[in-house]
Amino acid sequence: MSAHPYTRAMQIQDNVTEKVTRQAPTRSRPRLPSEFETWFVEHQSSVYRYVRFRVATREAAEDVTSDVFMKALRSFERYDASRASPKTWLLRIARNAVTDHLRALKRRGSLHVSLDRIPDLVANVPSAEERVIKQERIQRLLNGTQTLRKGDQEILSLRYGSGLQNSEIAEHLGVSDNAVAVRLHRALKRLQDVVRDPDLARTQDHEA
Amino acid sequence: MKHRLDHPGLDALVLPDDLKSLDAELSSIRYEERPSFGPELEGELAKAWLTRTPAQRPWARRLAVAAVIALLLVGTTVPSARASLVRFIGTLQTEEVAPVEGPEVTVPAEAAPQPVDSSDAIVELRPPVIAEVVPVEVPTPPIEVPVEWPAPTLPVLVDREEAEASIREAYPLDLQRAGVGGSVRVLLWIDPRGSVDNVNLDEGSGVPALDRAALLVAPSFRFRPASRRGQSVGTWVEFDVIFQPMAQQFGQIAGVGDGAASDPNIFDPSVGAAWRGTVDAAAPVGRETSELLATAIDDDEVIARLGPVESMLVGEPPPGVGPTQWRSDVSAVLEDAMERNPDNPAPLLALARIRRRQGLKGEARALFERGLQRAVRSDSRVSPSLFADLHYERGLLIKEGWQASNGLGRVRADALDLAACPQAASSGGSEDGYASADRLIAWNYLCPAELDEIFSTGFEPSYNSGPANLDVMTASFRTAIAAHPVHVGANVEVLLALSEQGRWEEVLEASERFARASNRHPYGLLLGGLALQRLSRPEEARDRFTLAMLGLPAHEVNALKDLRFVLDRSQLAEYRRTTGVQRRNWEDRFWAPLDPILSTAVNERAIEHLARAAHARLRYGDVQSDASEVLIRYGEPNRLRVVGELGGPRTEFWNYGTGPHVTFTGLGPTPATELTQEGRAYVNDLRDVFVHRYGTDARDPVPLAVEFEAHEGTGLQVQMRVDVPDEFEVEEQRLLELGVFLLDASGALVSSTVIETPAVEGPVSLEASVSAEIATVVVELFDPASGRVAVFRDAVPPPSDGLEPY
Repeated sequence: MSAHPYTRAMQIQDNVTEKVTRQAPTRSRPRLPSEFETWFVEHQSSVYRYVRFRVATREAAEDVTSDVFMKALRSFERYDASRASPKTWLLRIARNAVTDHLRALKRRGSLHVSLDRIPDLVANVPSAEERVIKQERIQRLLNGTQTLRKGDQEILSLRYGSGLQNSEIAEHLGVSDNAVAVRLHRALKRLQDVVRDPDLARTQDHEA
Repeated sequence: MKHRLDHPGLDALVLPDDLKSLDAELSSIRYEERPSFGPELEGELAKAWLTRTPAQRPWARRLAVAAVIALLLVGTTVPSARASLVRFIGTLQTEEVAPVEGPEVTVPAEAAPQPVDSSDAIVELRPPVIAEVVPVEVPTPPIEVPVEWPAPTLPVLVDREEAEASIREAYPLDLQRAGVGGSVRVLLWIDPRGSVDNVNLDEGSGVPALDRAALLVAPSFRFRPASRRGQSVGTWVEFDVIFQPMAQQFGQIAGVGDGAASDPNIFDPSVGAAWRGTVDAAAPVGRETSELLATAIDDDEVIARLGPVESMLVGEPPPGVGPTQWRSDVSAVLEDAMERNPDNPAPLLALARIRRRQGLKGEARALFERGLQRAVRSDSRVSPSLFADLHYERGLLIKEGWQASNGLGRVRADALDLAACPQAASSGGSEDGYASADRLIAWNYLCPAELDEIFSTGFEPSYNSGPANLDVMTASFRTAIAAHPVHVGANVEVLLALSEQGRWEEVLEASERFARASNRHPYGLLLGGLALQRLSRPEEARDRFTLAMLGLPAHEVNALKDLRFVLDRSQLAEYRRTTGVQRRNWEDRFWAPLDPILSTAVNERAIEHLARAAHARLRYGDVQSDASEVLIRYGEPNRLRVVGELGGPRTEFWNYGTGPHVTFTGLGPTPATELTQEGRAYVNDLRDVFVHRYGTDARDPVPLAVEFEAHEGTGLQVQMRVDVPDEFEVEEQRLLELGVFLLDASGALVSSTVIETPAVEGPVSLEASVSAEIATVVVELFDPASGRVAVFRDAVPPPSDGLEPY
C-alpha cells in the first residue's frame, strides 16, 4: 500500500516540542558608521512600510528595502543635511527604487496582488476568519492602488505605508501642507471609485 | 515586528464620511515585518561597508593624496631624496602606476563586531517530526575578533507540564465534549524576565473560541529568557497551542450518537429494508434552512424573479437560466440580506456556495466562517444540519487547498544529468535548476526505472502545508458530525481520511456506527465493505456491498459493477454489446474463471473490484473519472509523487513498481485528477500490457506442486507433500494458509481442511480422507499478506489395489 500524500500528514503526531527555526549563531558582527546606523535604526521600518505598500509581496519589499539602504550607504557621505532630512532623503531613494522595481515587473507581467501573497498585511482583528475577510479587502484596495496614477500611489504610500504626517509628506514632495491635504483627498476619492468599479481602473490604467 | 500606524497630523484633513471610512481602513492595515529582516539587513550593510572597494572610501582617497603630497615635500627638500624622486618621476613616464592600496582595516576591541541581536530569533514549538534547526545565514566578518562572548541563547519553556495543564484548563469544556480541537499559533514576546509580555494570533484554528482560549492562556507561560552577551534580552517566540480532545480519537467520531440497542440484523442483507433516501454527500437542502433564507430575503417578488430559495441555497440557477447573470443577481440579493439580518447564517451559506462555484475559494471560506459565527450566536434558531453544513463545506475547502499543495516538490535537474535516458534527451528543459514537468513526464514514459531512482535522490519538497490546516479540517468535520451525527459528507470524509491511512479496523467500526445511525446509508456500507475486504474478510465484504447496492440507485450500482476498465480490447467490444440481465450474466461469466480461491464461497477478485470501485467513487466523486479508472485497474500506486510549485499546475506520478507508471499532469487546485490527451493515449495503450492488477500478482495463480501417497484405511487416506513455490516470500514469521478442498462430481464442496503453515522453504505435509463420492481434489496455498495464491487441481483416481503413488 502506498503512502498517499493525505496519509503522510495525517500521521504527524500532535506532540508539543520545541523547534528552533532561526538562531543567532554568530558572536560578532561588523559595524556600520554610527551616523548611518542611527538612520537605519530610526527609519528602516518607515522605508520598509512605504515600500511594502507599493510592491506585491513581502519578499519584494525586503529586496527593494535592501536596495534602498545599500544605495544610501554608498552615497551617505555625500548626503547634504541642508537639502533634506535623512528620512526624506531615504524615502526619495526608496521612491526611485520602487519605480525601478515596478518598471521591471511591468516588463515581466502582471502587477496584481493575489490573496496568498499578502499574508503579512492584515488589520488588527481577533479571529482567523476575520483575518481572511480583511485580507481579501486589503487585496482589493492594493490592487486598486496599483491602478492609480503614480502621484496618487506615492502620496497614499507615504501616508498609509510610511505613516508620515502631512508636513512630512509636504517636505518630501516639496509642496505646501495644504496641497498635500488636497492631493490626499483626491487620491482617496479615486481609489474609492476604482475599488467600487474595477472597470474604471482599466480606463485609468489606459490613461496613465 | 508589527507596526500599527498612527496619524497624529492627519485629522486636520477634513474628509467626507465615505472617504473617512476608507481612510480608517487604510490606516488600520498592519504590517508584519519579518522580525529578523532588520538585523539581517543591518549585518549585510555592515559587511558591505567593511568590504567596499577603495574607490568607495573617500577617506582612503584623501589619505593616499596626503601621502603623495608628503612624499613630494620630502622629495623636494631633502637632497638625497630629490634624486630618487627624479628617477621615480622618470619611471612614471614609462610605466603604469600601481593603484594605491587602502590601509589595512583594523577594528579596535571596543568596536568589535557585536553579537547579532537574538531578538531576531524565533523559537517555534512544533511536533517533533518536523523539528529541525535552521541557522540563519549571517555574513562572516572578514576579520578575526579577539573578544568572545557567550553564545546567545533562546527562550526555553520553564515547565512544560504546567503549560500543558494550563492549556487543558483553558480548553472550553463544550468544545472538548464535542470533540472539537485544533492548533492555534501565537506569536509571543518573551521579555528579559521570561514573562510573556505581548501575545499575537499568528495562525488561527478556525474555531474562534479556541483562538480566544489560546490568547488567554498564553500569558501564563513562563520561559527562561533569551540571552545575548550574557545578558537577558527580549525576543519573539512562535508557539503552537494545541487543543486535543482527550477521550475522542479521530476514528471514533464517525456516526456518533448511534443507538447502542439498534437492530442486530442491521448488516444482514436478507433482513429489513434497504436505504430509501437520497445518497448525495451534499446534504439535501433542509426545510429549516430554506425558511431561514426566505426570512432573510423577505421579498416575495425577488424570490419569484430569481427562482426558488432552494436554488439559491445550492448556488445553482433554476433550469434554463444562465448561471453567470443569475449568480451575480443572487449575490447582490444575498449580500443585502446578510447586512439586514446580522444573526442569520443562511444568506452566508448560500453566498459562500455561489462564491465557491465562481472559484472564489478564499472568499467562500471566509463566508462559511462568518456563517458559523452567526450560527454560534443564534444557535437556538439554527438547525443542526445547517450548522453541520457550514462546518463540512468549510472543511472541504480547506481540504482542497491542502490537497493541492501537500507533498509538492521539484526534482533537481542535475539529478537527471547523472542518469541516462537517451530517448528522452531532447524532451523539455530545466527551470531554475529544476527539471521541467515535461522532461519528467518524458522520463516517466521512457525510462521509468531511472526516474524512480532520480526521485529518490533529486526530489526536493518545496512546500509543506503542515498539520495546522489538517487540524482545522479535522475539527470542521468533527464538529459537523457532533452537531449532526448522520451528516453524510462529513462522515464520508472522516472515513476516507482513515482509509487513506490504512486504519481499516477503525474504518470498519466507524462505518458501522454511521450505517447504524443513518439506518444503512449506502456510503457507510460501501466503506465498511472496503474495510472488510482489506481486512481479508471477503465474505462479509460481499454482504456489505450487496446491502449497499440495494440502497443505491440503479445507475450507481451499474457504475460500481462496471467492468470496462479491466477488460482487454476484444472483451470490451463484447461487453459493450450487452445490456441488463445479459450484462449481469456476462459479468458473472467473466469473474467465474478468475476466482483465485475456488473453494471459498466468494470470488475474492470480484469483491476486490467492487472495493476499488467503491473507494474510487467516494474518493474521486465518480467511478468514471480518469483517476478512478487507474485506481480500479491497478489499485493503489506503490508510490505517489507530486511535482509542482504552490499555486501552479501539479503533476502526479503514480508508480506501480514494475509498471505501469501513470502521469496526471496539469492538475489545478481542485481534487479533479484527469489525464491529458497524451496521458489518456498511454493509459489506453496499457490495456494491451497490463489489463489490470489484483494484489501484487498477475491474473493467473501460481501452479502448485503436490505429491500424493494414498493408503487404504477406512476410506482412502491421502498423504500430500506440498512445496512452497519460489514466488512466495520466505519469512518465518509470516503464516500461509494451506487448504485441501474435496469436491464431488458436480463440483460442490464435500469437505475441506485448512491449516496455517510458516512461509519457509521445503515441503509441507498434510492428510485427507477421500471417500468414494470425491471426484476432484483442490490444494491451495494462500498468502494473506500479498494476496498470492498457488493452486493444484486434479481428478481423484479410483482406489486401486496397488496403492501406487498418486
